[in-house]
Amino acid sequence: MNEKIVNGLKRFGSARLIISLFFIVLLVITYVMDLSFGATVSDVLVRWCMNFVLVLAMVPSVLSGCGLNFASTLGISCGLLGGVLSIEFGFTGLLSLIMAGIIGCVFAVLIGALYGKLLNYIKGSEMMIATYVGFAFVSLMCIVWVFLPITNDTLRLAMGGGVRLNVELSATFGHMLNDFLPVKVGSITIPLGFMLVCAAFALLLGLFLNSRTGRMMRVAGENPKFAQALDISVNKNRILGTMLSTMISAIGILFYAQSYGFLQLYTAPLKMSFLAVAAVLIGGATTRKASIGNVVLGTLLFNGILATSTPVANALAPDSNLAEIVRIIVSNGIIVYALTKIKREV
Amino acid sequence: MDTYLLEMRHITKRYGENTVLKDMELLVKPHEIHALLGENGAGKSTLMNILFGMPVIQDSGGFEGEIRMEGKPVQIDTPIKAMEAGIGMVHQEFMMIPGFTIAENIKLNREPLKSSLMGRLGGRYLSVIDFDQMGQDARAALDQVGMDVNEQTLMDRLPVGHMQFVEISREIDKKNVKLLVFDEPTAVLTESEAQVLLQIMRKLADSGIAIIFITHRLDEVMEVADQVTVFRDGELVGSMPIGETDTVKIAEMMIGRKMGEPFEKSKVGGDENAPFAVELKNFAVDMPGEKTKSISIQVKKGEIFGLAGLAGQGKISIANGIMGIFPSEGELFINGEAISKITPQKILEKGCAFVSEDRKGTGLLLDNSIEDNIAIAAMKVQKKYLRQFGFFSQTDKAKIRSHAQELIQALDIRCTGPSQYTRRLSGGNQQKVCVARALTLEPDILLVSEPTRGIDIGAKRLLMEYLVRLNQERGMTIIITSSELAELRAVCDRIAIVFDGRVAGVLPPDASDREYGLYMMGYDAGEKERSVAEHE
Amino acid sequence: MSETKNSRLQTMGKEIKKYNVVIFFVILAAAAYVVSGVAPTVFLQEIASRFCRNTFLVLSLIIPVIAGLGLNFSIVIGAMAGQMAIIHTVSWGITGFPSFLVSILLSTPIAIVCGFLVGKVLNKTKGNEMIASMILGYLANGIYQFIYLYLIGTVIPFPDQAMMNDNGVGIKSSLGFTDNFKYSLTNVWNTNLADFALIAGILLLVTAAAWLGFAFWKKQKKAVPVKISLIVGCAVMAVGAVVLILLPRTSEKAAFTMRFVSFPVSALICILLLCLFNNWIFKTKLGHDFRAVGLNQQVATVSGIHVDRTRIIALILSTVFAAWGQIIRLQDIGTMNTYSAHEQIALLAVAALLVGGASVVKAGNKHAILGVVLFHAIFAVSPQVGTSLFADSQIGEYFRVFLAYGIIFVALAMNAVQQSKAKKQ
Repeated sequence: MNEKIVNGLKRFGSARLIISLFFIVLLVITYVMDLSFGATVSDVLVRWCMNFVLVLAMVPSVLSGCGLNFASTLGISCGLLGGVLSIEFGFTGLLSLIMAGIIGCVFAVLIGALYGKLLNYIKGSEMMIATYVGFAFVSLMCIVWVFLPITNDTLRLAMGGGVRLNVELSATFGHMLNDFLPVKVGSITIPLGFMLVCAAFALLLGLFLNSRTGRMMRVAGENPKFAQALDISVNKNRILGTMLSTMISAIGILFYAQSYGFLQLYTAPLKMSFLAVAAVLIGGATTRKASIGNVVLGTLLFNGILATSTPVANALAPDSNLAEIVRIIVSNGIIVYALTKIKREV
Repeated sequence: MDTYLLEMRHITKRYGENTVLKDMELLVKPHEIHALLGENGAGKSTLMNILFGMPVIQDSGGFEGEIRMEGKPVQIDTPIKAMEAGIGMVHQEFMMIPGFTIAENIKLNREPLKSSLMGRLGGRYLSVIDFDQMGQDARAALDQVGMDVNEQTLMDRLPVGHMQFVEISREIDKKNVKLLVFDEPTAVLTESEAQVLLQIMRKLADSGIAIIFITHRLDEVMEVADQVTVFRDGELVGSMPIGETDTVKIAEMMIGRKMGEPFEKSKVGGDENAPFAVELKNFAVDMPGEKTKSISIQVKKGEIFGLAGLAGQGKISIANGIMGIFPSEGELFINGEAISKITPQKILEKGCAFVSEDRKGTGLLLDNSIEDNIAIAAMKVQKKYLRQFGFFSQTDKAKIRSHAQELIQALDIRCTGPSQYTRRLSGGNQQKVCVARALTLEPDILLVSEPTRGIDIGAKRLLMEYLVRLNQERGMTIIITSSELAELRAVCDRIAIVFDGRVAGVLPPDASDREYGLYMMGYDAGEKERSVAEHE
Repeated sequence: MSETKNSRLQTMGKEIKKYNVVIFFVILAAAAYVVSGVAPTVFLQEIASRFCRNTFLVLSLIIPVIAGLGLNFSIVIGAMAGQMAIIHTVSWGITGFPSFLVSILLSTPIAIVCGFLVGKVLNKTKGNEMIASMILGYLANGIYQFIYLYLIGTVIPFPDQAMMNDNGVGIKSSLGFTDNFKYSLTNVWNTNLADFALIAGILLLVTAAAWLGFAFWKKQKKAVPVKISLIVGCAVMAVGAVVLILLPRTSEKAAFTMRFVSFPVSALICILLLCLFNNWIFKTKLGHDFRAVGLNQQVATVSGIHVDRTRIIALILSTVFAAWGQIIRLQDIGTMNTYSAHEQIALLAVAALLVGGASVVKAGNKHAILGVVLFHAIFAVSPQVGTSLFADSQIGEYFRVFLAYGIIFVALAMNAVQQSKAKKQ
């Protein structure tokens, strides 16, 4: 019996265990110190959903053998472009969100395919190059935002051309999903509708991964030699995985933005991919394996810590930005930890 | 009593339960070129690893026996101690830094240093290197092996054949070297380069350095060696001066062994008139390390056909070429149909299935369940084990599960259940999963490479028995590639021996050891027999 | 005959190809300068001060490249060590040149420890050193912020209240060093460009003459023939020296321009010393081991070189130099954003090195020096270029960030393609 527990814990991993305990301790502190426990838990749940799809984008990338998608900022930029264009074309309400997603995905498919092609030339160095592809693309998008001929007043910079730094969404799709079927339990608000939508996306991805195409993609990602012996094209499947990841990121940022209430443009997305990477790693993924379960757990733990540490940090040391520091240390710590676990292929 | 330079006596080495060297003895005199012969897996490399104090030996519990250099017992448990004892090695793969010059490579980590103030203060590491001295030392060593190339040439500008000589120069430059090991040095050389190398070896031996010469080329042994020691299955077969033996005897010593007990077969496959299941004409496969140049064989329907040969001679690449895993040239016919532009999909559709020698690479998805490993090929090639919903498909988990359970029983795969990851299975059970996947494709022709490598004896027998049963009961044509000749002779109807990328000969399983031995060494057995007879 | 001509053309083509990155950026920098319409005095001043501020940091990248660790993005950790040293030095009330020396001394042990730890981690992430070094930089940033934003004043006592936030916890996010640390090195020897050109010209002339004299002396004494390349080299140096000496005297305008550009010679001397160090270290056994480990770890191990230890030493050196480089840089700037001054360090240094023609596996002093001049020439004028082309200085800002990221991406991709090609062979 004892052995079973030890084994179970081993599989759970010491890093994950520490982070889970940290999360629980923070929750207990919020409760004991009476730091508006209900609001905090509601916040945890909203953040969970808000980041969920962004983190989900890591799964196809890892499973197709491209490693953690440090360039999910490509998809994020596409999603933002979709959001901006959807508003520019005058869509409102739910339609504006759907159109944003569709336009974003169209761009994401193109960019993802090109990026996937690039990754096939540089096998073995994906992560570092992905990071700089992401950085370069975000800075390129900065120039695009300035030059984008926009007529809509909610989008346009008051003076001069270009898009605003932060685009207000209250008139279009702000809080569209957050306010969909919320359920109140005591002081806690559960964003049930939002959770259902996220679950639906997870289910869709799950179905794909269990289809023949999805299976073959996973084989190509796990063992290229094996794939070759069965005539499964490794390169094509890597492109497929990258395209999917980019598309899911595009949708993910729209979910994030509607919850946040703003489209954050220019340099705001620069390091967003790191947060998604950190979340999926905390959930138990590695650079070679990732599952939807990893996403569910990782997003909850990572965002749970961020959401609960804010009130606790404020109580401990007002104005010290401690919550931000926790975020930096936890997210980068877990990435470094994961990098040390990569077995070198010779 | 002779004075030996190196004495290795009563050497026994076990890896776990597995004894790879049994009471081995190797005695080398100064001025001697001592040829070490044996099939792959006979224990040569293990003995050399012991001699060099390689970590792999220490990490697996050391060895029994004693080593003496010049009569004094020596304790060699690290490569550095081997170096100190005066033992040098010319590696099979070159230990060279391509971006360095020849001189820098020869003096690598033994660079001559200038004395300077910083050096005196900061020690060896802050001393400036004396590049002039380095060049002179390198020049001297290169001259000794008769190489007139400029010592300041960058290594990556040097033809492959020359690198060997740089390696040798480096070993000679180590002033205290008394014993040099050459591990298949001529494998990468052209014939004329090999001739030069043999001359240099002779010269070195005459100058007082003893040489252990590991090779598969009997000609070279006869030409240059003074003494021959033959290993087989981790045991010493014999050691004698070169004058007291000849190639035929040596070949026999290397191969001769008890034949495995033949399997009972009710019908011997492939009667005279059976059509060909697989036919190769001038088939060449470009597989690194196992190239074949021109293979022509015919495998009859219902036959168990063996492919034998030493490592590196090309036998492994034939099945890989047929399956389209490595690029090939020449003609391939399957059931009489010519196949152009071979791709794995095409071959798999024609009813061939393959159990790869590279079990953990090409053979298995290690981080997937047994059942997924079994079903995946059929899913890809034949679109089985799927449920279709219009364009969309889903894996049929129930069907996969029941099929996997059937095969787990039939093949007696020891596991906790069909969802266990294959990484956690033993070698034998992993191999059974590979076989199960191949059988799921319901093939007419089964290609199996190195089926028993790394598997314990009990499992070996069972696996071979199962293959024979498939042949007998279902009439499946089976092509087995194996390094274990005894095993092939026990199950096959005919065996082709591959040497230097070509078929040296096709023999029945009960042909003589002598014939097998000569073919494996690349001699035409018939011709050699005659010449020996004439000689006698 | 024509064949040799062809092959000569080919080798010439290859030679040019080697420098095509540099040529591209020379053209870009020249174009940017022309379009920007910046006054020559301003332009020269920008380059002169940016050169003296940044080159030391860029030079700190060279050893890890040679030791096979790639571009060491973790020099931000060295920069943080430098900033830590500055904060404490200033808080103790030390001013002037001593404050520079104390910062250097204080930063060294911190940087050694940090470099050692980075080395340990990078030895565990072989094959992914660059991304690991980058993320380590981010992680260290979190720890640095934790210490200086939260622990100072609560756990760690701090003497200077003026440098702390009003509530007595943490260091202010922006510090000015006008009365103490600013120009602590620069003021040791600061001159104008015209005088500097004169001094440099004379020094160059003397060096060339000495070199040539030595060669001929050697010829007479030891019958060593004088190499033509040496004579040509000395001639080029002499011509350069004459140009330098005469340049401020060619016209009123030139003299005027150059006299108004101040030039911190003391920082330049530090840079020269590090260049000399880099040259020297690669002649030592240690430097030779760096090269061996960088080219092939496996062979180095078999030859008995302590690969992991050599890599750690490379990182310690790089981290220490980065700390010193950041101190040199900040004393000239005179203010410090406590929590972000280090953030862009690696990005800018790496980009500059690559602009100079270095790659992930090859870098030298000349790449660093050339790269800093070219990269910062573009960097300095790009806002003005944005203004004059698009009437928007912001575009110039975005463009230069894009340029920095883009050049790193291209260099990484080129290296990766080469690697995967080599693997296939």
